[in-house]
Amino acid sequence: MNAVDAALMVERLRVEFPVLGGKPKVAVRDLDLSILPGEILGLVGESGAGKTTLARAILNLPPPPGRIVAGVIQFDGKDLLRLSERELQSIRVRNISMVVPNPRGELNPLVPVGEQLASIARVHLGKDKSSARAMALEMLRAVQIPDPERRMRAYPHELSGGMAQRVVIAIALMCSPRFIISDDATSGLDVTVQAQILELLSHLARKQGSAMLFITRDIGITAHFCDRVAVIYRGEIMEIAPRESFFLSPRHPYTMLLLAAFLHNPQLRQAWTHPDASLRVNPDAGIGCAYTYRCPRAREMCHTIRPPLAERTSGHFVRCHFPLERE
Amino acid sequence: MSVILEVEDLYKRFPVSGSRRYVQAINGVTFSVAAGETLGLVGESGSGKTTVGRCIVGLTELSAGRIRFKGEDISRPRARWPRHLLSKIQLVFQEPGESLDPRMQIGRSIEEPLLALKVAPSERRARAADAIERVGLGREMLELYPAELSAGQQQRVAIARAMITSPELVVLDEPTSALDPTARAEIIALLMKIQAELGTSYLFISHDLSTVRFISHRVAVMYLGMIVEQGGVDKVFAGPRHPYSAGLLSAVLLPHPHFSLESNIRLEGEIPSPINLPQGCFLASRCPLAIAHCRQEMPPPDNLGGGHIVHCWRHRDVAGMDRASDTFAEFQREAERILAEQKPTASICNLEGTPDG
Repeated sequence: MNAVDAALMVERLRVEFPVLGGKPKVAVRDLDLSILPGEILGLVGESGAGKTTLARAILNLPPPPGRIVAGVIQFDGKDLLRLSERELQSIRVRNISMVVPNPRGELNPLVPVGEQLASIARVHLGKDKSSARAMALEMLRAVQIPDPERRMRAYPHELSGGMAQRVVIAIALMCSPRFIISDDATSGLDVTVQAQILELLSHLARKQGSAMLFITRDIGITAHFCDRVAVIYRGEIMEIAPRESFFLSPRHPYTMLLLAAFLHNPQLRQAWTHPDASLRVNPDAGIGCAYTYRCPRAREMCHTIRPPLAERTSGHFVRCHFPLERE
Repeated sequence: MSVILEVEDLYKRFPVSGSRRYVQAINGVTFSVAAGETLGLVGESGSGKTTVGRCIVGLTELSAGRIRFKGEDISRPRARWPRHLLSKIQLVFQEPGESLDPRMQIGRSIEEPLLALKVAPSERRARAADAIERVGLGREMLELYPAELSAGQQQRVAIARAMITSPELVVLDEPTSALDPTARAEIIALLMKIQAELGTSYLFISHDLSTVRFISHRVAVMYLGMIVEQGGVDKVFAGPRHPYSAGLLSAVLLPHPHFSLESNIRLEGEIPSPINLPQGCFLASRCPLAIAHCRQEMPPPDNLGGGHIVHCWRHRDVAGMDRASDTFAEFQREAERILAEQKPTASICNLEGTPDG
């Protein structure tokens, strides 16, 4: 894909965590990813797969003690990994923003939410006091907070979890960013509230024309809110495809395992699980396929040769020597 | 099937410190569990489902109501139960990491429930070894510490500890919520295997409807401390009669872009505070079907037959609005087709991951 077309392009990104007296642990392994303008890309993975590390690395804020050791993050003609902290600060919030879970931890407990919103408009958009306030009110209305005039004066502890998450979304969208990263933003919410928040987030992103990297543990969400879906396992993209192709003809054994978790047929669930999958751990040697030790299809070469992320059908990429063949 | 647990008109309120008000956590809950049966108790956070579980195992004292286990009254703290019942009812918590003592070897944690039963040390160790094998872990793990295990393995240990006293009823409080989807599927399969072998009854508390549907025989839907609908799992999931059940179901996201459970019933807003309970039906403020009568009078239970009970003035209209087809079942058929298309191990390899010639 051409760098000019993409809203954001990650190339050969590698993030490592130092290990005392040992080789560093690779959290994101030479990862390539590009997201089109206005596109919502779902990124699914289990805990420890490197989702959050990737999200933070895109903002050039790898979670300490992690370090970005290689790669390029192309945004707006610039490589975010080569910018000064000052240049980065103006890009974060204004052009790229992030929505995280645990909304109360993100909000300042001592400042009314209206003021928190208005200060963003003043600092980042250079608005004066009254138009910043008007913008904040409009944003609270956009995220469908009932009685927004009154809520402007509310402190974060006076809001329910769902309301606080709406405020965090309002903050993230305040500057109409071209790129939004949602990192498990709905994981702490109840299902009925989650559905409302998801709809709101995708609706506003589409309305503003923002591209979004939607990170989640729940593969079900991506089937309904994303244009393309990627699966990440141990810091590598294993499969990435347009939504229909991904769910109607999944090809990677790991994707099959994730989908099989929804099945009621115990034989089929079993079929995609290695007999003692949870008891086996891959040696982190960096050679061979990362999924080998949990894969029911693994053969000799899977242990020694790392498969490339290869395009199998149009736009459908799979990192597997023996992907499922489909007509 | 014989009933082993009966919960009758259970109430629980907690005083709010610094005021004379109360959190009304449970407001008149009635249900039963039969031998060898799984009852799924579903609801959002704050619905009181965990408190119901804790009252049953005697960790929380109830404010009113009656709980009976095989006819014996257990409506009091566990410390005052007759000794022979202590082994019969066990609890598994949501966070396996928090329910295991980090300084205690796995084996010691597993045999701990036997201490109260005054079982001899040698027998304790033998039973711990059996228990850990039953949950699919090796005996060598008895000597490890919780931090050395994955979350899924820790939850297996917690299940082994609950099963070591051969309980007849296990209350499982969100046992899979903290786990990744694949570990979740393994734990569910394990619980079902244990039930098939030993005939244990489960009260499975969860907010995850797809898991509940998979493991339960019957389901009870809780909202603000009340069971608003209960019945056979197929009945409630295929044709929910309470707007809240319908709303919960429509929020489930199945991993297939063509299968959406969206119904005409969309719930607005969030769960009200259990300190100031609304008048009339608790759902009225969020319910698209609410009429004036709903805001004045609490709907009585209406028995639709076959144990399907619903508390709603307008449940007949709900039945009319909801699609008759069972999207869950359709999704299952389609997903099975996608996943069965190729046998994962067919001819390509054997399970050991070694080349097959």
